[in-house]
Amino acid sequence: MRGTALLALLLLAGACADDPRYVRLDFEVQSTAPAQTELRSDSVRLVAGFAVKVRARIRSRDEHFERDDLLTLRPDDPALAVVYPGEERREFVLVGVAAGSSCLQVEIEGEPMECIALTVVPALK
Amino acid sequence: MPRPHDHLRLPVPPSQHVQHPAARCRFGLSAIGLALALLSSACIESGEPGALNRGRFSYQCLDSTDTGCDRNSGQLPAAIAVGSRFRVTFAPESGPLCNVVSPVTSLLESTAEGFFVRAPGSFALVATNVRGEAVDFIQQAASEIRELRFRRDSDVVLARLTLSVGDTAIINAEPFDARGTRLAGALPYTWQVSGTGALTLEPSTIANRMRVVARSVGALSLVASVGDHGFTLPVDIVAGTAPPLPSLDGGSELDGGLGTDASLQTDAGAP
Repeated sequence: MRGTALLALLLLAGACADDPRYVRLDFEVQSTAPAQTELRSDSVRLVAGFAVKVRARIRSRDEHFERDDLLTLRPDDPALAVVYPGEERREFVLVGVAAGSSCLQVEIEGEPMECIALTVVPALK
Repeated sequence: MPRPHDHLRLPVPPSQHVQHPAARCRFGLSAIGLALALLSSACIESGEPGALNRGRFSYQCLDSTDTGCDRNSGQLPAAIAVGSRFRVTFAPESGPLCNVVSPVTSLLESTAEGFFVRAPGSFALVATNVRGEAVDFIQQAASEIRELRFRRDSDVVLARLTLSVGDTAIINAEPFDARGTRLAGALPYTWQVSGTGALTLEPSTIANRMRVVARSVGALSLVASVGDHGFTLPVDIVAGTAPPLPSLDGGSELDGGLGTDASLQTDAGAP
């Protein structure tokens, strides 16, 4: 009986964690940006003061996510970067605000998927 | 007398030579339409395209001290002065008008009239629509003022100003950064004179422009200040040929066409 309850708790915890069907985001840069800018699935580097437009593609197991599922990117620390949604779905304008490190929350249909490492570096003089 | 190509003309009944009022109206409407189209295309072409080519950003001066509007083209300047104010608008190629915002608040403060530059650096200006979506953006730079250049007319930069007693001159101050880039932005200027001799300052409606009148012999400094920074133009006043001091009802043109009341009025009214 106690074992069943523990299993149920583990299953519940698993359901609340990141979606196992989500694999990663791929970024496609759609504007010019300083050379220090880097957008990878596991890390994003922006330059303070500069904006870059990206298109994000959701990689998932078995094409789990629908084309119209709402993808949201949200900096964990809004003092470091700001993300504006673009006019098209899954397009975003990312702006580095101040140098520092944090992460970029990825949500699909409001569900958290992961937090991608985010670094904002100072602009070269 | 027959004209060379009269033989090519088709015979036209006399009644058709008289333009019908409706036709005149149509012509008038067409002309208005053409004028509006030309005006509209001129408006679209002002400013410069954003990084995403979704419309055009236009720089606007908040007052006449801003050297960024000399060409009145809406082009964004190379750099904007720290401590200055400016406005940028965005005209999208299609869709509703957009707000221009900047999230880089450590450098740029959003105000009711536009932006105030807090610190030097680069900042993105983002055009957002009513849904808060980014439509386009553009990069802009801000620099500290390192130098005010004084000009006695539009071309000559002064290192020192020499006037004869009775001379008048109109002095313009323009801000530059350490790289020699002229800086845009509306700035609060104050002017003062220190030293011996007498130089009268006659402010114009443009704060970075000052009319000076040499009253008596001496060596002094004309100081223009922007914020906490003062910049000095040494002025020598020598005994000249004793020309009469300019009067308010027309003045005298003593120094190459500068300093008449008429030119002051004209310049003061310029954008």
